[in-house]
Amino acid sequence: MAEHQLIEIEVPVNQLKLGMHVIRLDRPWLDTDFPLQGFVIKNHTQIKRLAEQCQYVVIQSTSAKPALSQERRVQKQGLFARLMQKKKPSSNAKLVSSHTKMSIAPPAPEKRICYTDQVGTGQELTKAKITYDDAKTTVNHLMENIRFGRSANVLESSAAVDHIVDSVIRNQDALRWLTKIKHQDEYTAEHSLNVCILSATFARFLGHDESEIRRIAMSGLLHDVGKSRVPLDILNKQGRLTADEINIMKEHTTFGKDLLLSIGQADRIAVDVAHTHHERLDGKGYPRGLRASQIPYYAKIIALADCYDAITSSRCYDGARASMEALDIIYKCRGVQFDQELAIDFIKCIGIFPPGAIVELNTGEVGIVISANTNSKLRPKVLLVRSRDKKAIREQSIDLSSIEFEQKIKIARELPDGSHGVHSRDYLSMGAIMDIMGKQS
Amino acid sequence: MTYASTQDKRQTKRFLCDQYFIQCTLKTRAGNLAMTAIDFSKEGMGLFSSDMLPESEQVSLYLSYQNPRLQLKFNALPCVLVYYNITEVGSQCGLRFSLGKISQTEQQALAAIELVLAELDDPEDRYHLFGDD
Repeated sequence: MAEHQLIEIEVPVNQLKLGMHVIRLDRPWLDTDFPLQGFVIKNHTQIKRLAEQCQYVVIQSTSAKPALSQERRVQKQGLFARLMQKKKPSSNAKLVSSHTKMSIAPPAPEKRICYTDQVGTGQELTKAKITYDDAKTTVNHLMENIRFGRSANVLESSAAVDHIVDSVIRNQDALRWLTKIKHQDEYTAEHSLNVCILSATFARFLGHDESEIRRIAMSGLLHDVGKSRVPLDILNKQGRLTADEINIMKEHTTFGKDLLLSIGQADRIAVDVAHTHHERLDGKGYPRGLRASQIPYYAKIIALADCYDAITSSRCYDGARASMEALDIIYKCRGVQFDQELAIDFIKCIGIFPPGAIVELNTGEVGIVISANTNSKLRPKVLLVRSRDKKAIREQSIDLSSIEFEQKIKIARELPDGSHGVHSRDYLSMGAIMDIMGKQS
Repeated sequence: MTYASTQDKRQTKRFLCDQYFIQCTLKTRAGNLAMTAIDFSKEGMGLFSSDMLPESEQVSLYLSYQNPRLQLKFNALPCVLVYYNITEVGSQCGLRFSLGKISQTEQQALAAIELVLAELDDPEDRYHLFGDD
């Protein structure tokens, strides 16, 4: 027998009906002209007024659990899932909008696009540096505008995202190098940008088409936009946050959704991602404690990039070891916090030896990983900087995946940053790495 | 939001934990926190939780390792919180076992776990994902 219970359902304003009990709006009540915070719709004027001021509302309903569980599941998946469900009955291909191209899973193997780098890492780095700096300015500008109540134009970020995706498609490693340069005082902007770059790189790895990569990258860039509503003394606090401060911090997901909806320019995917990127597969995430099937695919992608960049921003480790620590966490929390298959794909995408890792070869030479080989992640391109007896040598890059080296030379172990006087940061300073790699591209 | 304690000075290698770390609970003065075992050596281990790590340097660990070959339980293993890294995605921390305060039997048990994990370790392919590479 069906069990009756009170449930909450998000309803787009164009689907509102008389008698529905509205309990929440997609924005604060005070921002609207409704005097009561919650009411039963009694006439069409109220529906019209809601439609003028909101995109969706939350209604409360009493209904049978089995009949509504599927509906609620889809509702909780967010705007995108509802859009997809709405599209399902339509078979008219000519009317298919761009939204129907959105993914709910990685592309099927036969539909995966296999990207190859169009230019070398050294060649791309110059452009990538300009792209990175411009994008950081754009993100800072966006966050400041929101924080100070000025009009925020999310569309301005589109150009920055386009440049980032263009760079990632030309070369998968150049921008990734730049994500390793962290400045503590610019964490929020750099983190948003890094998540954008990492998620674009991951989407490319998964074989999504370019439009999907752009959409995922944009969601990455905007995922933490709600932090612009978190007080600066909490956001920039040195030391531990109190329980109350943590709860305020956690509100950035809801702030982000509300903010993007109120601006009204953002892609629905970005709205969903801002709201759900801290949900966990086991239902212990926030803000809504969604179950695995309720979490949008895109949010699962961004959650991985978010975790990776947050952990690698730690000051506890050098860059390379931080990468391994982050991948360890993703690997161990797969299926509980992160999507099982996406987590494995993400680790494959990042690779055991990411750009910037300091490694010792089985020959005893020491080098720094320049870039990964798409088809041979354990055999990246390495810049040799120390001889077998650990003396400085003229830098020479070798491709461990080439037939010349494949059988004979391999990475014996990863070394802590600074080993034998080799610091990845020295090579990350743009002049040095561009000079070395540019000459050898 | 990311902030961390003092520098991690770890020199010894930690091995990736396998699926047999069944229970891993950190006990502090502020309460107990269920953690995920991340990496391990006989001297210490790395843990992660999506919850906030309580503020406390002196902690103890409840650990259950249930490998078909090796079943071990540690109750209130005294540890020192060597470092922590708290981010909005979760709390990461490193423990050093207080070897001076634990029995010889427990030390041997910790070493036995390390031995099992070392056998599984592949420095080139840490997650065994690139076998066909």
